[in-house]
Amino acid sequence: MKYPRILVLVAALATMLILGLLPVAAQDAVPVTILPVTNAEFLPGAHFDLRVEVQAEALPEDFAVSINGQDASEFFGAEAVDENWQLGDENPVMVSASTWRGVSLPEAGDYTVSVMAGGAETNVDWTVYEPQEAVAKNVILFIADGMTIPEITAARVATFGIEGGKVNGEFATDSFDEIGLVHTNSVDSVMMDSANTASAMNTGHKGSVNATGIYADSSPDVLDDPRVETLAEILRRTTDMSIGVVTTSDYTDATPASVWAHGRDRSSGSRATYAVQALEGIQPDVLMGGGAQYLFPQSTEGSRRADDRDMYAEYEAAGYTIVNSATELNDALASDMPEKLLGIFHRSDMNVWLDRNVYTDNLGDFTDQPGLVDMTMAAIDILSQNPEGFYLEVEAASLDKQMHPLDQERALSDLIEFQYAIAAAVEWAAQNAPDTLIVVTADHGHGYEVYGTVDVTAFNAAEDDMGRRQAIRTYGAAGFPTYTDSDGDGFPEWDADIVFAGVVNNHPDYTENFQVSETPRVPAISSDNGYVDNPDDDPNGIVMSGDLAPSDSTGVHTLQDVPVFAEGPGAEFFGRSIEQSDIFFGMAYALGVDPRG
Amino acid sequence: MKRLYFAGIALLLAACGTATDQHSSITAIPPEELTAAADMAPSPAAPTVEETQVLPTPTLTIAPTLTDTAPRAATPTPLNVDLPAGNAREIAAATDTAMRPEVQHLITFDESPVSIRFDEFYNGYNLRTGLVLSDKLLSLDGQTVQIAGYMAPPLKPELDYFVLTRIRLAFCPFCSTGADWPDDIALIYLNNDDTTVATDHPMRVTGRMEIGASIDHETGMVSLVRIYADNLEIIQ
Ligand SMILES: [Zn+2]
Repeated sequence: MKYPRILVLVAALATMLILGLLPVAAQDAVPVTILPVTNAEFLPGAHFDLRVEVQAEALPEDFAVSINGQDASEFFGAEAVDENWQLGDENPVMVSASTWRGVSLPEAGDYTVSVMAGGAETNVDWTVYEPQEAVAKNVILFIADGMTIPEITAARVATFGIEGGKVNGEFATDSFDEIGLVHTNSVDSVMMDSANTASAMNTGHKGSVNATGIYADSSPDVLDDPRVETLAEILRRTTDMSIGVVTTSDYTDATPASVWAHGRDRSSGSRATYAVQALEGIQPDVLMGGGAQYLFPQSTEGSRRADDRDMYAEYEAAGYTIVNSATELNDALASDMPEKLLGIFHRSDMNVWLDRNVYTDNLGDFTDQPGLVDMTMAAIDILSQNPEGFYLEVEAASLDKQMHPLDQERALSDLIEFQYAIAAAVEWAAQNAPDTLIVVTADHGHGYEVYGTVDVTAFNAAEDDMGRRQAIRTYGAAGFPTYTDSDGDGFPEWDADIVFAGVVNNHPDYTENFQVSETPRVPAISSDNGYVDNPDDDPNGIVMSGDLAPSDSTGVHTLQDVPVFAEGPGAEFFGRSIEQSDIFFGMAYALGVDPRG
Repeated sequence: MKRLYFAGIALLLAACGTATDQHSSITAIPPEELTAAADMAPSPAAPTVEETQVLPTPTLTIAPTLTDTAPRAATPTPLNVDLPAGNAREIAAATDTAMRPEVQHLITFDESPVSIRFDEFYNGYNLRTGLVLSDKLLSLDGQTVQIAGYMAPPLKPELDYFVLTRIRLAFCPFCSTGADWPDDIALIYLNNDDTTVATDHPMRVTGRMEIGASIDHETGMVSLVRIYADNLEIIQ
């Protein structure tokens, strides 16, 4: 959505007020936080929680909350629950809060929430948009975690090569009708993570780093933050559509969980809860990925739960067919097509394409994992049984998970696999369901870029860093990388003579030799002084002096617009410069979602 | 109350109190005797976590009783935390002594204490049943063992229990919600009123090993392998 400049100014002032940065006129005025924040956008009837926090021992006597001038409890037809808690340990302050749960805004239009507290008024502005007529039956949202334009460019060149100055082939997204730019910033930071970014796409609400399906409040409870409804929850509540989630990460990780989960802290402690929320909430018809460790009761060796719930048994009781390998997945599809499927193929995150297909010694106990193409098509096969349509989120999780440890070959291989998964879905839609909107995007960036090539023989023969740097060629001298695909699997063999000079622009102290690693990279190891170069990683590499805090073990997310590609009915919404939360609205408009039911 | 002291940190101990017991005068062990544990030092980076914010620690929730689970290799110690408040390790010890894991292929050992390494604990990961305990580990239930590892960063300065890990942990999983314990760990209970202090050095623990899930009454930590330590040694 575009805002007139004056609105942005008002928003900035309101934000400063919320953060307590401006002196408030009245003597007894207290800092007030209103959640959802200013600039929040909704569909009419979408459920959310309104929480108003006041930094005070108790709600001030004049405390009053109104929506467009009407008392909030009257407006919502619901009563607020008052709570308080202590914020901070060293200089604790008391917070008092009033919360209206499960409310909604009935009609499209502009809404102003006013809070009177201690003689001062605090306002936030919200907008509710009119639902649209349905144009699509199905929506598939493909998210490549941490995918950027430079990564797509590098993977495309490595896969297809260059002839006469032109790339010798196309990725699936290269022929999409609509291409746009997505702004990924957070409510609490200019930077972002995979939780609040995927949550923005699934709820239409920007959030705080690490938060999923909520607006982050100040209470110590990470599960009581005011919620916003996800697209999948709205679809469950108001339609008979099916819902699927496919990922190569642990299925309770941030990107997949954003389809159904609500919590402040995406870290391990919450994942066991997100596994429960999936079951007790929307129960996606298809769930595939890793994450077995969040399904066992705590007494089981290798469990990461802190309770005694046997989630495998609970999923089974809820009607899920459970598969744990590529073979079991194929068998399940070949016999009776399951209606609900839980596919768990790894104890935590699934392995990357390069390890599943080339360096298989790295697979450990998990030697029979399906690839992203197979999982995507299995999900589509199951979901498309429903004549009412489906919403499917597919995540290629490991671009990000491999860009963090600066492993260009593992990241780019998963980007290529991602493109093949998109190609398979595009082909399926063309033949079976042209009324399918396919949206492809990333959640955030990484600072990877190629700036030339490396002569590997010269690099490895050099005796010191000056000699190794002589092997890096730029501009015309760069020539072309010599990646080949001699086995014809559609993926380049990375152990070439001339390889990309590609690095990540933020990193700990480490060494870089630009060559594919037979084992996943661990560029830095911990020491008493923070993270330092791992002597076992690229031992012949050029010394790269860290440009991150010593406590950072790997590269971090970077600030950039990420691309969005769209094809199918409703795609035209995406061909421009948008906020990440707009992706929710583009998908909801295409499906004709009206949360009022 | 007596303390178990490490020879390697005598200076630190001088500030804390006087060494008075037989455990304080232990000869340092040459590095070549170290097991796989020491080869791993310094520890690789903790798994990549994107979380950057410090979040409040939620209270650990513990279900009151263990519901019957599918048949497993080890008979779990009841995870009953409705026991009277008191000494966590006495409660654990009592149930540990009462419970015996079922061993498919019992191994008998000539030596005592029996040496075991962390990389001998498990025999793969089954996606439907979890980590598979090795016959050696199961056979060592109730036996005196010797194992080398690192002390995980503890919660408090004076310890009557700690967690022994295969690799040196840079973080304290007790303290941060985002951090998981690795698999290769053992909960070490010191005997009776013994206490010790934190150390970064590789160390060796000798004591009675107990296998099977058990919950620590004080911390809520669920452990699968425990050692009731008679002896702690710093490996120089
Ligand atoms: Zn990341």
